[in-house]
Amino acid sequence: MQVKRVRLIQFIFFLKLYLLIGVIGDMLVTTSYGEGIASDELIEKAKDYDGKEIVFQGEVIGDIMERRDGFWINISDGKNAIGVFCKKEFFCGIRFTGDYSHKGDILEIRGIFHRACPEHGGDLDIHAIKMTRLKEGERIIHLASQKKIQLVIWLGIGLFILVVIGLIRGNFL
Amino acid sequence: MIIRPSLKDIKIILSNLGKISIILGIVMVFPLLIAILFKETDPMYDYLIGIFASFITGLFLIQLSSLKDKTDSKIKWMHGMTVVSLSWIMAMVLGAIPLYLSGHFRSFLDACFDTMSGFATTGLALITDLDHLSYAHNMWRHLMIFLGGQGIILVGLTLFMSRTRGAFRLYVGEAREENILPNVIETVRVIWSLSIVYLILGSTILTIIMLFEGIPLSKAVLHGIWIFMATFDTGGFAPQSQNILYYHSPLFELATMFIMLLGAMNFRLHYALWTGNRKEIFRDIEIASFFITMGLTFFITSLGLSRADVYPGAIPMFRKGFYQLVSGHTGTGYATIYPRQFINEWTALAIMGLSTAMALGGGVCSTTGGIKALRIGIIYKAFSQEIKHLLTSELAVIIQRFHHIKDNILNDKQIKMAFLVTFNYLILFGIGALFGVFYGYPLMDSIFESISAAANVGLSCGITTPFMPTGLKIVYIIEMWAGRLEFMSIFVLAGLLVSMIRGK
Repeated sequence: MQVKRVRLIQFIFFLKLYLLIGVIGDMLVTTSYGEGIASDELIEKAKDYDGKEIVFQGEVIGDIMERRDGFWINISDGKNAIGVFCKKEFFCGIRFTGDYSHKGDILEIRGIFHRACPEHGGDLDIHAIKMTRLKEGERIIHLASQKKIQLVIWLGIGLFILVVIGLIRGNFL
Repeated sequence: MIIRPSLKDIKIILSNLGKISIILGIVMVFPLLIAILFKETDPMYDYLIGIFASFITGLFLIQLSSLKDKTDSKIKWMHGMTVVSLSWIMAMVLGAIPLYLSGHFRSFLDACFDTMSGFATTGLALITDLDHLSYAHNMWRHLMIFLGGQGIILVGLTLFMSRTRGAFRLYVGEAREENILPNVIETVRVIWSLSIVYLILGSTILTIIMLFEGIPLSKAVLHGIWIFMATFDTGGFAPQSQNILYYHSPLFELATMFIMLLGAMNFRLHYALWTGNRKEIFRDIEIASFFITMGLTFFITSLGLSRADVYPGAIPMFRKGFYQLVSGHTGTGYATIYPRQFINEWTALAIMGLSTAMALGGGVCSTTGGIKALRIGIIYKAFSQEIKHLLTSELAVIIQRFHHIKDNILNDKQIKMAFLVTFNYLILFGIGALFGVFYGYPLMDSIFESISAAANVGLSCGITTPFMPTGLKIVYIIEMWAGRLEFMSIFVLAGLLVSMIRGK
């Protein structure tokens, strides 16, 4: 009887442990499902994510386009950029948007994904319900490559020689 | 007996290629000025290198040919056709130099791909990280479309040619069959004048829309100019990676759709409209053919989309379906959906409707690619004539008429040319699709992408990426080149190469 009771306690203990692991595992899986879904995944499996709350992270690129009822921004995760519509009350301040001279702010968008948004003419977009700035962008300084400068000088010399030869031979355009 | 081309023939070709190269260098001054204006130092060097390389190539070829100017009067058909086909290859290589130096391409071949795509007004792109590209490089990408749309040779004719005999042979070599005015130089000037007027009007309208949609002034002006160039010349490049979807604006979509339709119209029709002959638009077989095929292909596409159950309601379905269809039929290639959405969300029927529209194209003597509306009209008339002939007495003579700028009587030569060009396009579509399948892509995707490249459209279903096989990149470059020049000058080039080897 004693042995049976011990085994029953062990069984219940392990069952609880398995359940706990299961619950934690499920939580982890759910969290990873929500955290930073790649744009490729969203576009490829748009039907699966349609109408669901998702989390998308990436750099703000281009412009912040203010409209009557909110803002349009475009967020790029490096592979694709996706349009995010954000109502004014959810909009967090954006300092930098990505272009040639700037690395845009990195944002985390929590919102509803639409593969064909009924409100915006069938666009694939995200309607933000929470916007968090993860990292501030910065100005990019592009220094001129020394190799390019040298190449310009050499080509300039070559062109000059050709022009002189052309003038001497009378073949100049 | 095949006659080997003489040294003089080669010199005439080299001399004219040299001139085109110099023109390319001159045109690169525009992006250089943008680089200076916006203090983009690194791109400034990219364009200085590009300009110097073009001038050196041009002067070297001219020196090599040892021909003085005024050689244009001696240009024969063989010279004209060869100069045209080689000019496009040369422009691709020289034009790719600054783009490759930008650091936005994985290889020089990728930069060549985008350059050919730009000049041929296709719009397929292998560029990476487009959203961080400089203004100067964006200016060059869109300027290539504007030049290529009118014709690289057309620029040369404007600047260097004064005699019409040789000029006409170059003009025809660049897939332009029709003169607006009897003199080809005058025709070229009319084409440029119309294009510049439209550029000013169109880019102003687009700029105003962008300002209204919340884009700052300086960027709105630049985007307005670039998008107009790429829309009117049915190119399809855009300054942002999301293409037209970036703007999230129905008004902007409407405006670009209207400009695409303008771009697909024959320049002769534009001229007729501008000179007060507005009735032409309702009488011309080309316009009728274009709108009938657009209606039919839109019906097929809509039928396909209605079964796809993707879009919530008729308006989003119309907005997405009609925009991609107009973009495809005019050969522009602007998209408001992601490439993979065609395959994942559109049905095979919808893709078939769109692919057919892409293959058909717009007007001859316009900037579109594809088979062209006039040829479809002629083929229809030929079938109609044949059926009438079968239904009436064998002795009856059936005369088929059509209106294109003036009243024409359908003749065998027109029918032969229409069928020949259509046949060539179908072969080209097939070859490209075959290569796609060979590299492991599904048949539907391969057909779609091949038509898009050969008809100079630019819509993609996801095959065209920097990671696609090198062989397929080369196949698509050839398709874009052959499709833009409508084969004849390329056949002549091939004939010239054969005669150089086997000729006596």
